[in-house]
Amino acid sequence: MLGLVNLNNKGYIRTVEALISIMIILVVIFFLTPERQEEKAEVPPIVESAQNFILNELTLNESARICIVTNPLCENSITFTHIIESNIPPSYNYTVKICDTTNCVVPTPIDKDIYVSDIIIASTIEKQDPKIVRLWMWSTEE
Amino acid sequence: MKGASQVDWAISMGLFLIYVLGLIVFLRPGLQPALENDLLLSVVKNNLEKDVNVKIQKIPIFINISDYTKQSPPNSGVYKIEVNDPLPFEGQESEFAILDNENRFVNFDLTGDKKLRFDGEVVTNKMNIFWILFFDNNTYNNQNPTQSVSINNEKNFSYSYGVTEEIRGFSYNNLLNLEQNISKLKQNWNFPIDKDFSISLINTTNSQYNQTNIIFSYNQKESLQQTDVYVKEWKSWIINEKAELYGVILNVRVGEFEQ
Repeated sequence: MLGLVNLNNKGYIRTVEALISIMIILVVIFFLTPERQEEKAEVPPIVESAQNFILNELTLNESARICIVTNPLCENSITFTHIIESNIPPSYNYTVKICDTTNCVVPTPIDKDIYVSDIIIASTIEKQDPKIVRLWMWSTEE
Repeated sequence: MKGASQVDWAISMGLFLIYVLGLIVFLRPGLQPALENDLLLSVVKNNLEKDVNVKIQKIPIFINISDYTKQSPPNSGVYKIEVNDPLPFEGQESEFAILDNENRFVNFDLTGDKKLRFDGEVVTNKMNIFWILFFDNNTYNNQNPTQSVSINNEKNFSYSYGVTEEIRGFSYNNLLNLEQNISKLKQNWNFPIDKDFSISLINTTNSQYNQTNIIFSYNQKESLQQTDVYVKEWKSWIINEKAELYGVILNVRVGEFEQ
């Protein structure tokens, strides 16, 4: 009977040893494993694609460039708004502004993720007057 | 008692399994899947862009016929304009063309010593702009200048070149000339032979397009039932010989298609 008790005690001690060693290994692994980089909040591809296309189209389209650089009321012109409105994806809304400085903000919804992109248009072939075109987009879905 | 003696290894095994599971669940060994879902889409997109994208260089040339330091500034009119300095750009004559201010090709040639001659209308008291186009490996059908009255920069006008603009886009001709044998194309593009892809070109940039907007299709087939098909769609530009750009949508599907 005494021998049996001794045998069981040995088993428990080994189990405790195993537990301690597992804890040590876990602690070592925890501190040695490189931290996983936090995933950045990504711009939805449809928004990124639309923003890239719209802003590049504004730089490449000569009429749009002339409008942006020379016309103070360009934001409301058909040339300008057509390029933007025809390329905004369905179920997205937008605001756009042509600014003289980088200090350029507009009111946007406070309960939505807002995706902003901008581009500098420096000149036309005849006139140099740099402008920043900034485009804010957000989903209209709840 | 034999059963009691099995307890210790059973507990050890249980602990070991918990330990391994803990490793997998909590530490999540950072293995990335070798084949991301969009990898094949990127293969098609990158190779397509490599094969059909072209670049045209556009250089403005400003002609001033109201420079009164010149011997005999001409009146407004249409002339054969001769720039008696070698063109400061590399390339064959057939790779160059000249556009006037209204984006029309003008008659143009290069002399043996690479001097520029072209027909064009110039106006006094105005900076007259023409555009030199350089399209690598292209053949423009230039006609030789025909105007009988010529003016040159030594006696009649001053000129200067502007900043070179590089305009990139898809060449529709290159798209039409894509290898028609899909197996060969897959091989050229290092695309897996057991997968399929298709390409569509849509002549609008509006996301809500319909079937009638599709102006080019490559390997359009139905996908097999019960298989995943991945789609990538992006907006780009088609460029023509005049370096004019037209917005289009490109749509690529990757998956397993019916034969």
